[in-house]
Formats: sequence, structure tokens, C-alpha cells
Amino acid sequence: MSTAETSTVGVIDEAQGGAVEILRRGLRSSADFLVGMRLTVLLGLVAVAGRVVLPITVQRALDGGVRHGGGTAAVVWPVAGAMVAVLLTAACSYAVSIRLYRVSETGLAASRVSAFRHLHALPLVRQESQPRGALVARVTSDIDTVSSFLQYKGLMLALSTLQMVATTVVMACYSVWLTLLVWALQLPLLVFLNRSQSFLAPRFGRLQERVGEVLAVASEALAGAETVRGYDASGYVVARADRAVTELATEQMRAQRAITAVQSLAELVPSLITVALAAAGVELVAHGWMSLGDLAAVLFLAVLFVSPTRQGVVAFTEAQRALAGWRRLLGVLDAPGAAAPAAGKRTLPDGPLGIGFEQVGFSYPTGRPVLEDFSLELVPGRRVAVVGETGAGKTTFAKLACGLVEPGRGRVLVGGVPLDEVDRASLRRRMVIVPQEGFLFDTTIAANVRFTLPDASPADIRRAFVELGLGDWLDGLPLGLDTPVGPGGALLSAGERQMVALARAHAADPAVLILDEATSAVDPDTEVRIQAALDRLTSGRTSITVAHRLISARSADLILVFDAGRIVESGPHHELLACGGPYAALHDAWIARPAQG
Amino acid sequence: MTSEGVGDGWGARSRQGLLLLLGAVRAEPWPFVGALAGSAVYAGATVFTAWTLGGVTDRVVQPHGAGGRLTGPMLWLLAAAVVQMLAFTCREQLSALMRLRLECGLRRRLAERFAVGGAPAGRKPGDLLSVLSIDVETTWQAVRLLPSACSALLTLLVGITAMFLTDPVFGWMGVALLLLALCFSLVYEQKAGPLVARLQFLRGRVAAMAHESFEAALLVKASGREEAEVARFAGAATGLARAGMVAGRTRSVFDPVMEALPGLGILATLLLGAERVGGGREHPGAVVQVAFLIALLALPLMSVGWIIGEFPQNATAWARVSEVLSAPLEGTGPDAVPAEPQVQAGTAGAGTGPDGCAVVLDRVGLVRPGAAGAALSELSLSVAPGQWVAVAGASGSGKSTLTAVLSGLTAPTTGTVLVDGAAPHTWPPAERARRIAVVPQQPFLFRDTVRANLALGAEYPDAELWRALRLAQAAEFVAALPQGLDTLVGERGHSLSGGQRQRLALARALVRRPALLVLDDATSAVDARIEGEILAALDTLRPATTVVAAGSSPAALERADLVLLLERGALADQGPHHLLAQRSAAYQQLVSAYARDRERRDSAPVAVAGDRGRAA
Repeated sequence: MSTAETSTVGVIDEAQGGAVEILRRGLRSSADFLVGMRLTVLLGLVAVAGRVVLPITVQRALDGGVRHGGGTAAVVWPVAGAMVAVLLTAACSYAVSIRLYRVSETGLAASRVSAFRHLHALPLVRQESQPRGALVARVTSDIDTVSSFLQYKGLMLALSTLQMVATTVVMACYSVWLTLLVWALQLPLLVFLNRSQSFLAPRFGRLQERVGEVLAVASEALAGAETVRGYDASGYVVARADRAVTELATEQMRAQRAITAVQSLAELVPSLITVALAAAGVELVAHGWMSLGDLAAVLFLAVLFVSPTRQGVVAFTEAQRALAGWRRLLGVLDAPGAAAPAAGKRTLPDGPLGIGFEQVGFSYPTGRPVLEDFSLELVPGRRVAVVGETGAGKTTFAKLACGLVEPGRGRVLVGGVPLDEVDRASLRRRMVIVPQEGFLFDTTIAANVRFTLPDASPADIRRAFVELGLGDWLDGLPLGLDTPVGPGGALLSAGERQMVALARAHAADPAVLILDEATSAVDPDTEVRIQAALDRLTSGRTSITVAHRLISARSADLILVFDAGRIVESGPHHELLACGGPYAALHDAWIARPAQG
Repeated sequence: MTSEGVGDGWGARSRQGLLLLLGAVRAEPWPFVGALAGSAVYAGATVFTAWTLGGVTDRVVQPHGAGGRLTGPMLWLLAAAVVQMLAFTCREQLSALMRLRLECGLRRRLAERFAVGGAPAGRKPGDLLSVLSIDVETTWQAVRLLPSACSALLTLLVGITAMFLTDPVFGWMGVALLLLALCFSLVYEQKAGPLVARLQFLRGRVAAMAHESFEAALLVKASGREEAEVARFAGAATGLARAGMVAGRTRSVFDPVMEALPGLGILATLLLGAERVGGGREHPGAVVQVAFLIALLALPLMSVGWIIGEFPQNATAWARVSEVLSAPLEGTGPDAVPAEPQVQAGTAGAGTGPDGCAVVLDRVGLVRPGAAGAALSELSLSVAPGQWVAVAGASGSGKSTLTAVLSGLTAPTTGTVLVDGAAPHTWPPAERARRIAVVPQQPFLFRDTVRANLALGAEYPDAELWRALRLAQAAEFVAALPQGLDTLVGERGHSLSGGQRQRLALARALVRRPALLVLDDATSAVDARIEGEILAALDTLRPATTVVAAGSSPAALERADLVLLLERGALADQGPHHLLAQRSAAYQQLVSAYARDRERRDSAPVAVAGDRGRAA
């Protein structure tokens, strides 16, 4: 990776499609969402029915019993009936709610996990172009918007719709014409709401994106705290964070304005329905086309129709944020992963592995070349040293060799098998790369080594250190293998972190070991000791060592000299030295120090 | 982790929730007043509509009621509809404004806390991100419901008064209903509080795990541990889902009960009313009126219920936020906060002079919290202005710790560090950063332009930036970047090579023209030729800059006036390179390692290069 590229390359797209499409895909993304959906809907219907029954019963009781002074006896039965309705509604609402919690929580946990899996499966170049904070937002904030919708508003939207349908049916029994009038006003509202999505959706998409940006900036502030303190640069970081937070607030306000606009316009329709019903109803009654009792019933039903409309509109507009979250989630699931697991079924042959490069080249998505096309055959069991000035493409070469980066052109073969056909698990067991800044988890040294080798016993782990000549260092630690390394390994020095990373790789006992400046921070004495140990341990194994210090080059079977994305020289140490080319120049610079002891 | 800082007493969370709302009103009074007004007008328009409609239907009953006389009321109804819409807009927009401003303000405070002090001790970054996004949002969730809840409360008061006026018996029934709702809310709060607290805690844990796993993405990929990571994350996600279901079970009781209460109230009215009307103590109209009133009060009661239902979440979220805000800043113990600048007047004009800093360490010791041994012990030394001092030692011997103490980033546990006569960790941060620049071994670059990464918020003319880049041997590759100084480098500078990142970090230090330059193995990823050029360039900065360079690169040791040899945190020896190389076996062991290695390898039989690969 030698050239700076803008961070907008490789952004994960949102899934496209309308609300219904997204909802359908979202619900199908995990089988858990649809578990027992029929019963849930049925219970919802009962709850709605209970809600509609209550006012009717009350009306009856008032008309029949109370008004005519019938005393308690006259109302006891209607009240008992209504009581049943109230309790039934409550019980069913409870059941629906609990069921929705269950399916949404299990469904979203599954979605969260599959989004997490996909993000880890993204090609490295794409993964690195995403700030960590934004990746975290993908599996937290985005999904939480969906969960709060499914659990509260989704229920409200579903029940509102059911209530509107039920009320329409009852209303039609009283007066078909007035029902038509209600729908003549309601339909434009539904059309309007449907249209409004194209206007709301992008706003919420941007809103969620801004959440990711805030997390990205905050995550950098946390990670870079040392630098910030050292340079008293809190002003810079605060300004960045302020900008991100303000941009989020602006985007929130923008989305809010859009929502309020839609809701306000929608707010007018229920009022118009009520007024129109009253006006038309009075006319119908005045002309004797309708009984007064029927009008009273219709007006009453209108209230039952209008209030869910209001609630439904609110729920619908708020659903847009959930849809944005879902769009982003589906976008992650849609993003092309690293070599689809189905493609790689072949396992690598036993024994030492060779690596072949056939017309391999690599460029950034912007088209700027990092490595120009080259072909190369690395024979099994050979030790290869990669040298060259910083930024010459050495790291990219190392990452290509182990399939961490996919070549833009040509193909890489390991053990004669094209990399994209190799089963990933088999590949990772046999090939291990140690990068310059090996990541350590915030746990003990032993647990960090166990990351690649979960079954390793303390004795195995200790042996890995001893074999690398690091037994003394380990013994010098008061807590030995149980020494905590701190967040990101901060309790160890950079050199010590590299030692742990190296032991972790060595413990895995791979057929191919790739070291990318893996000992650059270690003191010379230890480095030489490690290198000697590695020479011994890697004999008969294929190894690729990228290093700007030429210790490893001397004993390598083959040295590859990189310059500006090209292999300019290759051969063993003595041969290259004799040529007096670029390697000889590098070597001169390396030994030309007066301090040779 | 039940509910840090909230307290578990009855109503503690509701009290906290109310306090939050009060604070919100105090912080944003005008949007609140506006939203409240909108809410009141909205409620008024609703009542007006109901009343007018009632009038209209009543009039129809009169024989000569229908016809043209309806136009007037209809127009009134239309007007009410428009007023209602405007009031709605006002209420929604202003209450949203109030909430978003509060959210934004709280996010700013958190972000500033992160920027100034990093992560509070023991908190994982991902967990803090969860606080910043979800907990902040949750803290102010009830604000949005506040205006309608306030006007609902008013409606409830008016309604219950009206019930009292109709018949005190009904009035008391209304009060009983209200009290029942209140008691139920308190019970709910008591039950839901710990569940919600657990939920928020687990949410933080999921975020923390995701963050750490994405930080380790390269390692995960390289070692093929994706499925293990997914399994680990799935465990956390499932735990969160389970806690969500448990909390959801409690929440599922709350809303249906709050909805059922008014219905039960109406039914009680009917029974009571029928009995009283039957007994002749009440006329039927009053019962109808009260039943209608309760029906009217159902929504206000529910909206008050909704806001109370938010309290447990709000209080827990706020507890999490305020815990972060009140956490002590790292590296500034009680005695490390400078009361006033302690740069003494007599000490070389504090940076105005031409010479670099003088550094004196006297019996300095440092013990890291949680570490078993001392990182530094009994370390004494003296560096003259403009001197170049190298610090050598094995990995883990305390070189990095020494650089942190020298530069004032860490206060020593014992002994004193004096830079130009004053302890650097007590200097005002701005002063310290102006005089002392530290370049760490693993440079940290922001996802920003090269320019911003060098300046870090300060203003430098391009010429100054290029001068620093040239000194750091970074000018050439920066000039070759697509947009030069304005090229974005990826997060942590991932689009650059390790050596390039280190050179940018060095340039960042040099552009400040520090009087004391502290390098912590800052050229470890740079190849020999470039390292030589960098060292030569740094030499030209003296005597205006004192250089302390940790690291065992022979070229750097050779150039130093004085070499300090560290062993397990203590000073084993010091002196010029050639003297140390003669008298110290340990030093020889360290610095001649590469040369010895070369000799060893050269004397070994040369491996026959059989098939050595072919490059095309």
C-alpha cells in the first residue's frame, strides 16, 4: 500500500428499492422474523376488534340502561361484555407485543451477526477504506433503528391499518356513500404518503451515514489520544468532532423538517374527513336518506377511523429511518465479499508449498498502479527476502502472496492451486502473515497467542517463545504468559508487541510464513536472535520476509528487489552483490554505518 | 452494573427522568414554550372540533335545523382543521428542535471529553461509541413527548375538575384512576429499571466487541479466524437479544394496562352512574358527560404514561453518559493539573533563546498502575541544551517510558524531571507542545489530509510544511501524491507504507521547530539510506533543538553526543558511543549484533542456489 487514495473509494452502497421491497427483503433476510407471524396478526385483529367493540357497548349501555334509569341491573350485562372486551384487548396487545419483541430481537440478532460476518469477509482494500467507527455503526446504530421500529411503531402501524380496515367494513354497513366519501379523501393521502418516500428515504440514508461519521471521528479521537496529548491537538480533534456532530444535527434537522412537512399535510386529511362526513351526513339526514342514529354511528366510527390514520402516519414516517437502517444493512449483505466461500473448495496439498504469480498486477480502484504486472515462481521450501525502498510495493506483494489482497490482474497459485479456488480455512492454516503492527487484543499474552491456536496449552505457547529465542524475555515478565497487554497492547513496547505477534504466528506452524517488517521494532540483538531462530525453523518451509534491514537477505535463497512497483532484480545475495546493481546499493547503505562494533 | 448512579429506590428513575426533563426545559426554554403553545392550541382545536360537531348534530335534531345554516359551522370546522395543522407543525418541529439541540450539545461534550482525555480508564472504545450514539439519543427521548404530555396533564386536570363539578363521587373516581395509573407506573419503573440498565450495558458490550474485532480485521483475515470472531460476536448479540426480550416482556405489560385503565374507568362510571341514576341521586345526562370526559381523557392519560414509560431508559442512559463525562482525565492526577504556568522566569526565556532545552532527571522512578515491576527506577541524568542523546537498550528496557517521562506526557512516580528548570508534566499543555515534540514509534495519522495531519489544527505556511517534510525526507513522496499536501490519507494512514507514516509523523514534530525533540525509535520502518539522510538533517537543527532519540539503530547511536544504556528500567551505563562500545559488554552485544550476524553468515558455507526462481 504505497499511495494515498481518497477514502471515498469502496464505500458500501445502500440497497436500492422502494419501502415494500426493502421491508420484504429485510424480513426475509432472517427466517426468525416470520416465525408465528400468522398468530401474531390474528391476536392483533382480536385486540383491534376489542377496541372497536368497547365504544359500541358503552353507547348501548348508555342508551339502554342509564338514560332510562334502569339502575345497575340494566347495565350489568353490557358492562360485563365490555369488561371482557377491554381485558381481551389488553391480553392480546400484550401477547402481540411480546411476540414482536421475540421475533424482532432474534431476527435482528441474526441480521447483526450476518452483517458482522459480511464486513469481515469484505476484501481488505475495501475494508480498510471504511473507518472503524462507521463499521461499528453498521452493526449497532443501523440495526437499532430497525429494532425500535419493529417493536413500537411497527406494531402501531400494523394495528392502525387493521383498525382502518375493520372500521371501513363496519362503516360500509351503515352507509356505503359516506364510506366512499371517507376513502375519496383517504386515498390521496395514501398516494401522497407513498410518494413522500422518495423524498424522505435519501434524507434518512444521509442521517445514518452521518451517525457513522460521528462514530468514526470519535473512534479516531480515542485511538489517537496519545498523539493529541503530545501535540496539545485537542483543538483539532474537538473541531473535527464538532463538525461531525453539527453535520449530524443538521442532517437530523433536515430529516425532521421533511417528516414534519409530510405529517402536517397528512394531519389535515383526518380533519377534512370529519368535516366532510358531518356536512354530507347532515344533508343525507335532512333529506331523509339516512336515519339520525346511523349518522351518529358513522360519525362515531369516523373517530375510530381517523385516530389510527393519525397514528399510522406518524408510524409510517418514522418507519423511514428504520428503512434507511435496513437499506444500509442489506447494502452490507449485498456487497461482494472476498472470494465467495462457495468458490473455494479445494484444499492445499500437504508438504511445502510453492507460490506462483502469473501476470499479476495490482492497482488502486482509482487506477493508480501499485505493482506492475509480473510473473514469478517461488519454489516450495525456499526462503525469499523482499527488499526495496519504503513505498516500493513490498507490502502489497506480501499481501498478494497470501491472498489477503486479490490481484487486479492475473492470478496467484499456491501449491499449484489458484488462490480463489482454495478453501479459506485451509489457506489460513497453511499460510500465516505477520504484519508490521500486529494487533493485540486487550487480554493476556497467552490468550493472544491462542487467537490463532485455540487449543494451545501453556506449554505449547511457552515453547513458541523459547524456540524463537524469546524465553528469557518471557521469564523476565513477573506474570509470564499471564501478563496483560493492555488495550491494543499498550502495556508492552512496540518491540515486545512484535515478539508476541511473531510467537502467535510461529505457534500456528504454517507451511508458508510471511513476515512483513515483523521485527522492525525489536532491538538488534533480539532481532538477530529471532532471525537465526527463524532460519532454523523455516528450513524446508517456504518463507517470504519483507525487511528494510538486510539481515534476512543474506541467508535467503532468493532476494527480490522492488523499486517503484517493479521487481528490478532477483537472485541470491552474493550474486546480486557482484552485479553492483540496486541491491548492492541498498547493501552498501546498510553496512556503510561506521558503527559495526 | 444494575443501574450505576441512578439509585434503586422507589421512583428514583422517575425522579431522574423528571430532573432530566426539567434540565431540558431550562436549557432550551424557548423551543419548549413554543412547542407547549402549539400543543395547547392543538388540544384546544380538538375540543373545539368535537364541540362544534356536537352542536351540528344536535341542530339536525331540531326540525328546522338543516340547510344553509350549516355553512357557518362548517367553515369554523375547516378553520379549526387548519389551525390544528399549524399547531401540530409548531409542536412537532419545536419539540424536535429542542431534542436535537440537546442531543447535539451532549454529543459535543462527550466528543470533547474524548478529544481531551481519550478513553476513561477501563472503558473500551466501542462501548464509548455506544454511549455517544445510543445513550445520548435515549437520554433525551422523552423530550419529544414532553409538550404533548404537558398539555395532556393540563387536559387531565381540567377533565377531573369537570368531573368534580358534575358530581364529587365521579371526581374522586377520576382521581383514583389517576393514582392507579401513577402507582402502576412506579411499579413498572421499579421492575424495568434494572432490565433496561442491563440492556444498555450489553449494547455497549456488543459495540465494544465489534469495534475491537474490526480493529483486528487484518489479523482476523490473515489467520482465518473470521468464523471464530463471528461466533464470539454472535454470543454477545444473542445475549443482547435475550436481554431485549426480557425487558420487552415487562414493557409489553405497561402499554396495554395504560390503555385498559381508561376503559375500565368508563365501565366503572357506567355501573356507578346507573346505580346513582336508578337511585335518583343523579340525572342520566351527567353520567353521559362523565363517560364522555373519561373517553376524552384516555389519550392524555396514555401520553403521560408513554413519557413515564421512557423514564427508566432515559435515566439509565444518562447515568452512562454522565459516568463518562465525570471520569477523571487520564495522565492528570490531582497533582498534575497545573495551577499556573511553572516555567520559571530565569530559565532561558522559556523558548525564546536560540538553544534547545536543558534536561535534568533526578532519581526518577515510574511504576505503572497494575504492573508488577517498576518501568523506570532511580534514573538520573543531565542533558545540555543542543545535545544529542541516544537511548539504547533491549526491547522492554524502558526506552519508550523514558521518552514519555522526558516529554511530560507521563508524570514520574518518584524523583524529578526538569526541562529548562521546570517539570514538563506541569507545564500548560500548549506550552509543552510548543517546546517539546515527541515522535512515537507507531505514528498515529488521522483520516484527513497530509496538511491537516502535520498542522493538527495550527496554521503553518506551505513553505514551513515543505521545510519539515524535506527534513523528514518525506517531501518527495508527498509531492508525488495525487493532491500533494491536500491528499487524504486513510484511517491511521492505511494508504501509506509504514516508513511513509513514520516520516509524516517526524515532519509533524519538525514543523513545530521544537526546542526538545524526543524520538521513540521513530525511524524503525525507514530504510538505511533514508534513515541516514534524516539523521543528517536533524543534525543541522542543533543547537536550537536538543535531541533525545531512543532506539538501537547503529547510525543514530554513532551520531549522538551521549548514549544512555538502559537495562530493565535502570541506567546501566552512559557515555559517548565509542567509549561504551569499548567498556560495556552489554552495549557491544546490542550494537554489534548485525555485524556479528553478517560475519557469522559469511563464514557459513554458502547455500547452493539451485532453482532460485525466475522473475519476468
